Amino acid sequence: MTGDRKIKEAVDRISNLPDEILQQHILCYIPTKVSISTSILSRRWRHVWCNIPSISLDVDTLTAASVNETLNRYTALKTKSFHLKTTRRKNIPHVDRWISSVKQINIKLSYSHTIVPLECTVSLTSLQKLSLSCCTLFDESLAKILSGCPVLENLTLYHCGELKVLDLTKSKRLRTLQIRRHVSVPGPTHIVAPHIHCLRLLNSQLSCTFVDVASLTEAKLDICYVPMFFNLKADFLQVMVLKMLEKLQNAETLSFGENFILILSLAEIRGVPFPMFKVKALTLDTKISQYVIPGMERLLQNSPELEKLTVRARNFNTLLEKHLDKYLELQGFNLNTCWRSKDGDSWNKCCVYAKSKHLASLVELVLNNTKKLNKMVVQLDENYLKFKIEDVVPRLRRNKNVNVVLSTTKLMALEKW
Amino acid sequence: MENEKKMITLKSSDDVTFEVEEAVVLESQFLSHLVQDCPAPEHKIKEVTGKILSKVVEYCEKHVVVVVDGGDSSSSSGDDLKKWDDKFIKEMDLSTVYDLIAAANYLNIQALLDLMCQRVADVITACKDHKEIRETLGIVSDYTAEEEAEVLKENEWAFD
Repeated sequence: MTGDRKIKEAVDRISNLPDEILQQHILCYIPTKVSISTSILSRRWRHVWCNIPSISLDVDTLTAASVNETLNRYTALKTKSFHLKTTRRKNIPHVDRWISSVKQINIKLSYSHTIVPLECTVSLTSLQKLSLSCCTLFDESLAKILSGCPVLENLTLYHCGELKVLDLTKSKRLRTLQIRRHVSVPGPTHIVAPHIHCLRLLNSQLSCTFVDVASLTEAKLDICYVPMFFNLKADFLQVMVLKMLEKLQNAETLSFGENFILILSLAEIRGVPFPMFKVKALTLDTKISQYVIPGMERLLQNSPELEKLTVRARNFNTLLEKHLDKYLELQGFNLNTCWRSKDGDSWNKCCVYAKSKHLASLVELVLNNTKKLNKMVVQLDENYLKFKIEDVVPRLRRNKNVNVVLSTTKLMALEKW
Repeated sequence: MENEKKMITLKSSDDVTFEVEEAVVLESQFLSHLVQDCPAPEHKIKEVTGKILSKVVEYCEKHVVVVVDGGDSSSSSGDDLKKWDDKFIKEMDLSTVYDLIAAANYLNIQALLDLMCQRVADVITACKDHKEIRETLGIVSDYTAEEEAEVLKENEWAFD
């Protein structure tokens, strides 16, 4: 620490700071437990913690009685964040009371690995953002929770296995919906969300249907694929992905992940018709290889309004290319030619074989397939980059309408999807 | 270019003057209102000493230059700024930190206030128990023994 001399000299000036600074600017930066322990410092400090804007309790390390007692003392009128962590079933009967004890704005609730009981009712009249992760939650329970959150704007459901039909018709203020599914925790299979504007769905390889997403303006979609079976259910995935695309025709901002694009490539090679899009800003989270080219090409051709394209070569779990090859081979396609782009260019099979000429071809392909584009950004993962970006520049055709930005990044795989 | 920059003079409580660009002053909500409402060339800030005001000016000057107009390179300059911030607070004694908290609060410079408060929060978090917090921050307990026992019991789990 600072040495004995300094400690002896310490003058108590912190106690003279206004409560607001202590609560909103200092105690909010330290763990809740330490914040609460400041009550013992002196009389001045006894109740300061009671008004901190965010509180986080790891309920498993506490008894229900002590949580009750602590929350009874917690008097903050405006709670920015209330985080409750529990993994034990015995705490469930109390959860309802604990969350309702926070009267005002809660931003995040997180029951980890908890079964939310059917009789759970809440009344959180100012709650704007609700996040439920790893909950075993049935449709009826979620409907009950949502009916108690009349002004909810943002709903996050990560790995909530028992949900089937996610009906958000009654959540009229809901604008943003984020869902992550996984093959082992299936989660909602039907999404009825007529009021949402923004959807982020990390789907699994299991069925998911957009029943109503009529107000959607922004969507980010990918598929988290776990190779559980020997053969890829490619037909099923193509049907699912294309049905999703039909519902995205009016969105102006779209983002697709690599697995999603790979499935689109299969559909394109097989000559399946695609809808037209009104998208203005498109982001493709994918490494560059022959397997994404047909899908990418088709997306561009069907997006006449596109103004900005971003390609992010990020390493995210990816379908095995050999499964795609095997599927097309069984369909009678010639693997030597079917992956080529329409101009006849052949592309690198694997992202590590991408050369400067491939990147130049990609830029060319984008320019040839877009009309209103004014910006193209390509972010390349340093791990896969075997050439210098400067080498690409002389290969590029001069174009005064489109601003092309090439950059390298690292550790993008660690970024949250 | 040079003469387009509008300069403003700030005068501390002990009459130390600082000539800064207007853009620097705009980092402070309080000063930007003051400058707009009374366009005098010199503004006296009675609540802040020269020693502290020089720190405030140093901070604001650093933070105003690095504003990037939405460019893709903002992340690296963000890193540089963070390094600068770390260095800025690292060798500061707590007494200066408190003065800067008061000044940032008065002048309404949110980022500086947060930076200084974060430093105090770090000091508290680094303490192993409440006794060390008291020693480090110079807080003297005015609880009676009975009161102290009562408070300890209220939130027993927080004192494990």
